[in-house]
Amino acid sequence: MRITRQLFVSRKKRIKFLMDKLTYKDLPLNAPALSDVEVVKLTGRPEPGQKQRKPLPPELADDPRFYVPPKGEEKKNYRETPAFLYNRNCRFIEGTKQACFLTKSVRYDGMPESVQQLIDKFEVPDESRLVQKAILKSQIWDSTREKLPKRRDPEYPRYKIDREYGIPLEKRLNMLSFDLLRMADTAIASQYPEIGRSRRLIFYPNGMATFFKYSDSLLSFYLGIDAAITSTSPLPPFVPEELVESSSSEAIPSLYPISPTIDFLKTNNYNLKNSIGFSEISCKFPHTLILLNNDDWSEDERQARALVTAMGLAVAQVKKTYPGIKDRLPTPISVQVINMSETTMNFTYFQLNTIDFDNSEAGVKNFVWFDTGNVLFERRLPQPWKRDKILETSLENLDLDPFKKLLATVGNCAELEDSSTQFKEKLIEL
Amino acid sequence: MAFIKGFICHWGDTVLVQQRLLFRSYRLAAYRSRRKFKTERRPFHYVPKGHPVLPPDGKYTTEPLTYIRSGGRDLNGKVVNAKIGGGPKVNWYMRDDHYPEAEETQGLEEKVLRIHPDPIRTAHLALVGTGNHKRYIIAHQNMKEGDIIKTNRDIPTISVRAMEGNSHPLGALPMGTIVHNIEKIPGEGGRVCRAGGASAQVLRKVGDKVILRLPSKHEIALSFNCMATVGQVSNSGHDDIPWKGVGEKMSAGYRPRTGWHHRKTGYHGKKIKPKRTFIVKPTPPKYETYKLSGD
Repeated sequence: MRITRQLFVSRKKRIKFLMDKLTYKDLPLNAPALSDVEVVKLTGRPEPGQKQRKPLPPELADDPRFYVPPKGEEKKNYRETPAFLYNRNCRFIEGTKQACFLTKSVRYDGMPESVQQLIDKFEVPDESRLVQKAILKSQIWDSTREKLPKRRDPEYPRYKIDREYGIPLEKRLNMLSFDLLRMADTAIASQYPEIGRSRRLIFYPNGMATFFKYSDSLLSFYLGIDAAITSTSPLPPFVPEELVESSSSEAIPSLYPISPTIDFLKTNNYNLKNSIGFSEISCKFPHTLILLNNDDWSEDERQARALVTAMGLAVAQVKKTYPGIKDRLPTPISVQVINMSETTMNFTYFQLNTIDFDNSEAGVKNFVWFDTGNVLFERRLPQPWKRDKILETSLENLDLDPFKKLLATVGNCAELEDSSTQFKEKLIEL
Repeated sequence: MAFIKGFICHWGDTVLVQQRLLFRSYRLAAYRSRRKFKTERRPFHYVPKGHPVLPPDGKYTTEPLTYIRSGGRDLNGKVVNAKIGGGPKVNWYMRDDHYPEAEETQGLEEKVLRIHPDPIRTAHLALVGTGNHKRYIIAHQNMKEGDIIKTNRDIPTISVRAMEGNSHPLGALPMGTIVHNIEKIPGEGGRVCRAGGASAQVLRKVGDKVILRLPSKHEIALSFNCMATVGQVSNSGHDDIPWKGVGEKMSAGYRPRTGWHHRKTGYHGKKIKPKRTFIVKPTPPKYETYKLSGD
């Protein structure tokens, strides 16, 4: 007898062949026709689109090993209308152009005049020595030794670099930035000693959020900030009122066919919240915000993030002081933001004049100043395929100009903050 | 009939057992009939190189996904293709080959945001966005960031001026246009000419159908409503660069093969045959069906 291939046919296939070959001959004579009968599969398996878990017995209902998280429709946050969420991780694809269109702001490059005059006003004795100390403390002298992430150089991507141990990025950033802030505080306090009472430096504030309507869609912002300086008196506007009224004639570049909410997350599970994050009793006006750039984004994307956080905080403040307002504000609100990465510093200055973000052409506009690319020092990483030349990290080309700009922004309008007068005003009210 | 010693059929039929015959042709036949089921000759694409891990929602995302390589293994876990194995860990991007719905006469406009090479495919990827939606598509040869792309589903009487990157149905394009990402069934999504440097050419229109010449020099007739994009796919010279050696191929995921002691058949070698003449068959008539009810 000859061996045929049917020996190696599985049982499933044999059943399938039989089911496919069913014809009217296989049915008894008194049975109805095949077209009138519903063919039901006898395998007992569910269809591919329908998968349902069997209910667990009551003994295992509370077992965390078999926990199934609820779907989006079963959670408490579920609402019928969707909303767009903004987060610290939202990466704008068009950068500052998209952010300027969202916030309806006119863009200027450089620092405003009121801040540029303060550059040489504050002095730190032994400036270069103290700055170098802060840099070396964060880069070399610290004794932590952790596993750093794997690294590939774009010059020679196929070369596998050995595992490196050292100080992680978060720690380096925090140490450098907060050391420089402390130096700036002491320099300003030498000239205006009332800052100790009229200002607060908050690390990792929590709970900043706003929401508003933008062209038939809800936007909700949850802002993440690393440090904030708050004061008892608000910042005066960077620009007089005449220029604010003349800005209604200026145009903002359009983003057609993209909308600025393209990078927001669209969900049906969200919570709406409006809060500043600081206390509302003492030091309730924001002065500067500090963001630490822990990502590998471009400078353009970092500046866009700074703009949107400044806008979100200003809008949250407006909703508390002027509830129900829709258009132009009686007094503009100004906020400063400092972006700090390992080697570079970026500054943004934002002035809020209106809340009407829908009309991008008509009406008064907001103002933005961008100062990007201020490099403190350069950090050259090792390239071991170039033997005997570059085997260790080297720090080069120190530049003290960005530190002077930092002093100017942090010391902006320090003379106006007089805690003694405000204390007397409160006594009179009582 | 030659019986084999000690063998009993599965269906219960008994078999006479005789003494084992000793001449060579019997042994060769038995050996070949047994080896046939162990080493079956399969095509190269019987097992894919790998598969991606799709999101559980099933929705479209622009995020990079993990790609699991098969290693030449089948679902049973055994090596079916020994020429696949190894390779770098790569990200897999969901590429949208479907054409979006567009309004009449106006069409849909999209802007090109980013262009970068695809780690798995030969064609480059382009990030494209409208409104609040982003997606990845095939990049054509002369694409730049900031271009605007249109999709139109109208078939006017006069043929449309074909600009690179725009997508129209085949009935609207003039003769001689170069086209890629073609649909075979309208509404199904692009299937033809998606690899690097590929392109098809529109030859002529016959009745209800349009005739194209594919890169294999075969001709195909498709309906007027099938969509296609104008232009040639990017990265056309990826085939011309030769491999430097076995090491580069191994690091890319191809395992070696020696030609020594491999049986050669009519399958090996270049096939030189003339192409078949192309005939467009008319659509058969539809006969009306009547159902008779028995009274």
